[in-house]
Amino acid sequence: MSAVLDHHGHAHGHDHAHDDHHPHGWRRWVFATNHKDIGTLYLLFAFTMLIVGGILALMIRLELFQPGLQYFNPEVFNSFTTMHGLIMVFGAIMPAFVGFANWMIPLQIGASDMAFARMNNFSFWLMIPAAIMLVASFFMPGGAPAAGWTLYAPLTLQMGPSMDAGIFAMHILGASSIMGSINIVVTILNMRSPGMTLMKMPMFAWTWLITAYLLIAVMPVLAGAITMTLTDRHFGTSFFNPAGGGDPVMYQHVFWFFGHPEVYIMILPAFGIVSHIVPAFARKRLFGYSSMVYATASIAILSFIVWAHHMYTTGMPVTGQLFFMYATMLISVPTGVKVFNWLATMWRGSMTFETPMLWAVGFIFVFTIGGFTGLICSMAPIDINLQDTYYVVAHFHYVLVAGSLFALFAGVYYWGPKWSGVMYSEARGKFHFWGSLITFNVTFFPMHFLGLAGMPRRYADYPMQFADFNALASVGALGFGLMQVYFFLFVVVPMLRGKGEPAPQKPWEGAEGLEWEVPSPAPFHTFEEPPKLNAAANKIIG
Amino acid sequence: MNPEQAQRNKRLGWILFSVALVFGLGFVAKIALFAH
Amino acid sequence: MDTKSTLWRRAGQFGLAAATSLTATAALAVNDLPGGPAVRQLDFTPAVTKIAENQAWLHYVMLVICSVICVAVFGVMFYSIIKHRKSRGHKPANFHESVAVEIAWTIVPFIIVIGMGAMATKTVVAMKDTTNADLTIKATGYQWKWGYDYLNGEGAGIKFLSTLDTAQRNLSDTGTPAGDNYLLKVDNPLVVPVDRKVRIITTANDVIHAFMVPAFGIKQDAIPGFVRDTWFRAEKTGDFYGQCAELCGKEHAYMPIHVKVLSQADYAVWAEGELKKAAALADDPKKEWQLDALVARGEKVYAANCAACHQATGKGAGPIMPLDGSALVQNTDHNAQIQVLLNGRNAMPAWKQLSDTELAAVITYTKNSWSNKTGQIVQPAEVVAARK
Repeated sequence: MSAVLDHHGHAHGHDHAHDDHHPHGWRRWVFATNHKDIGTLYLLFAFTMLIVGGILALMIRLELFQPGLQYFNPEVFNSFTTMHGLIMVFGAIMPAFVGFANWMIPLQIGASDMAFARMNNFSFWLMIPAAIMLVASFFMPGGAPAAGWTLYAPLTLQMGPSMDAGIFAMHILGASSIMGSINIVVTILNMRSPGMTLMKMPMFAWTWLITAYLLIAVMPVLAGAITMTLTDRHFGTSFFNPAGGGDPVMYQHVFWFFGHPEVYIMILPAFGIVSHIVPAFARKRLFGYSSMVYATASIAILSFIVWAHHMYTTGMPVTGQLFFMYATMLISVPTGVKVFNWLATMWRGSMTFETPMLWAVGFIFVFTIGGFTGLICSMAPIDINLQDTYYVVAHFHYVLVAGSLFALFAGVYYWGPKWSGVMYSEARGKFHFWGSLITFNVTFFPMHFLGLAGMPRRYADYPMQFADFNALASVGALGFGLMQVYFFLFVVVPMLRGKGEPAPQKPWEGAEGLEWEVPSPAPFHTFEEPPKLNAAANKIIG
Repeated sequence: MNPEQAQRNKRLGWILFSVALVFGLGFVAKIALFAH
Repeated sequence: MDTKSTLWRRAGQFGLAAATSLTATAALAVNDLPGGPAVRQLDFTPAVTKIAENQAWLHYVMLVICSVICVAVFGVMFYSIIKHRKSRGHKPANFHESVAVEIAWTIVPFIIVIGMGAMATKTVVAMKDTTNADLTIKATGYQWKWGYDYLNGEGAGIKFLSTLDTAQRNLSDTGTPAGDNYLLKVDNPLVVPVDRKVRIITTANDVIHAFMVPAFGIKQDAIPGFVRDTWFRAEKTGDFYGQCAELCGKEHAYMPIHVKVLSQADYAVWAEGELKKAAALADDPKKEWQLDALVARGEKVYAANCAACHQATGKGAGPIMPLDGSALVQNTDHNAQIQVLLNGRNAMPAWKQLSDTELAAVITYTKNSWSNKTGQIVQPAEVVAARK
């Protein structure tokens, strides 16, 4: 039967001989321990959260379409900006990458499943009550939290009960992440097929191994920050409350010590996906594999020592500003190395531009632009002007949307045939890509100008000189949103339903990896015995 | 997977959990004890 | 003309018409605000301080370097996309690693980045040097307005609040924005002299705010319980605008900053005028008060300062002396009671920081309240004399 959805039309006789006793119906999903099913659950959850977060974004852009308050009061507007951020970061991007990890890591390393299959189930299902609580916070007295996704104290101490619901939800999401990361690290370290040394492992597995370590290190720190906020709110502590002798800046230090590695957590798996797609469609091996591994590791290590570049205006001593500026600028070196390696992979390859490759090349193009605006922001003298303006909003949407999200789309088109057994429509995929690329740039490029001109972020209304670029951004946002609805209706739904050309085992001529050694759709159980691998550990022999 | 594999997995899992715990509690302890 | 180019021409005409109509309608509504945002502004606000000039220059350098790298990198990429295609018959090459190349494209960016860091260092240090200021002003962020206290230099002692113009706030609510200075107009702008180093000390009363003026190139968080600072030396007179740059609650978008830079002569006139106004509002210690008015004033002072210990009933509690029926209070010798208030006694603290008028009023109040009906009045001049 299809590894994605249970098609009642297919005869169960298609199953392989091993295990026919896995559950069907709702039990299959609620009690899922299969990495493919759990991967599917994560991806569907993430997409739902993407739509919810996207609706919030459209509400924001609707209000900002013209100066003056037309639809929402400023407090409600601030709850939109806050929840848009929280939902996209913790509900859409992170779970999507975990979904990819679940689906692909066991397949790519030749393992039968994740190391802790039952804990895997718990990790996923924990997210549902957390997400419900997060969305339900809109309906609590006082509305959803309105302190920005960064939840700075002491403003958070003024928020209503939805703040506590939000903190609780984040704790649950954090626990889910930590368990998932432990699962991923153990799977990768312990369950690779014989002959697959770490330096022969696929890049996607490498990027997730490193990302999982980052998560294990920093999610507990976030938990600490939000717990201290909770005790300040209700249990008489004064960690951040200046009236009691507390330090609001310390909150920022603790939060960003989590927050900066967090943004690398959201981009490293994207780098992994792109590192699979570019070689496949260039029909040429990834250039500089070891270099890519070291660069990823360097980025991860450096990410721990740059957090205060989010805090240049808090009043830190000049040596602090200088140190964090130098350290942050350093990260562009390994990042550049990765971009050059992808280019060298493309160089003198034999490229075709099916949809996954379009997204991957689009990623390289737009992410690089986002990287450069990040470099500009890292310069403290410049950042003093840009901090908390729309320039920063432009920067992080370039790297998170045109970066992470585009890579996720690339992965869906690339591995989708393996998951679902059907090919997507190439025309529709291309339409989704070009439509998204254009509307994305229309939305976010003008924000650089708004930021340079001094328009602050988290503003429900603005001086009229900012009107034109805001209007342009809102139009682009609507287009971008419609593109994703198109994607859902005309690409995702057919894939889920199994409608489309049957996918071959290896739809992509230049693709390499153990995932292409199993049928499409991938059977419910794969690699129940570790496969015998060739010397390069990328093909099964015997 | 065989029981030995599961054992090795569980051991590494607990090690990683402890790392996360120490990191998180250590952070809070540093703040609580040394007031930054 | 064949169909394809006709279609492109039509599309271009349509696009142009749409763009023109959009810009035309928008352009009618507002003009550039000198010292503030310009319509469809593409760059930093024109610099009015050397620091802001430095920042703009740094930004240009970064833009140029990044653009050059972008052109090079994307040039290579697009060349490759066109030339190295399967559809063009290009066969894939075999290479997949090169230590020399990896080292090269690690070292060269590393050197570029070091150069960038070195360029910026001087400006970072200069921005932090708030010493030797000619004028020091404390800017306090409130939810949701700014308070300015002139602490040091010409104009010291001036203090006032600066709030967004109420009419503009209402325009926002009704969705009918208007004016080139929409959301930037305040009742009392911050006034400073040109060509003088002004040190701005920032703090806040409640949550974190941020004091930002793009034309000066400054932004400094205003943190409750903490004191931070920044500085600027404006080289042009005029009006310059900024907004609060740290989310501080629901009216975050409605607490602008308006700095009026005056010539040194005009500033001196302004400062003197403000100090005179403040003095006029302050109590005149030579004034002769009527009993009822002074008692009424004294009641307010008592409620704010004394009632916490001596109670509203004047009866005190435990070791705290009752004032009602107190011999010291009813005594016709005013000086004894005045001295207790000026210097404190045992557990009671000194209250010499209250003004002469306030002390006179509260003493008169105690002498004529509850069961104390002495009919005595203590004029502020007596307190002035007692201080000597």
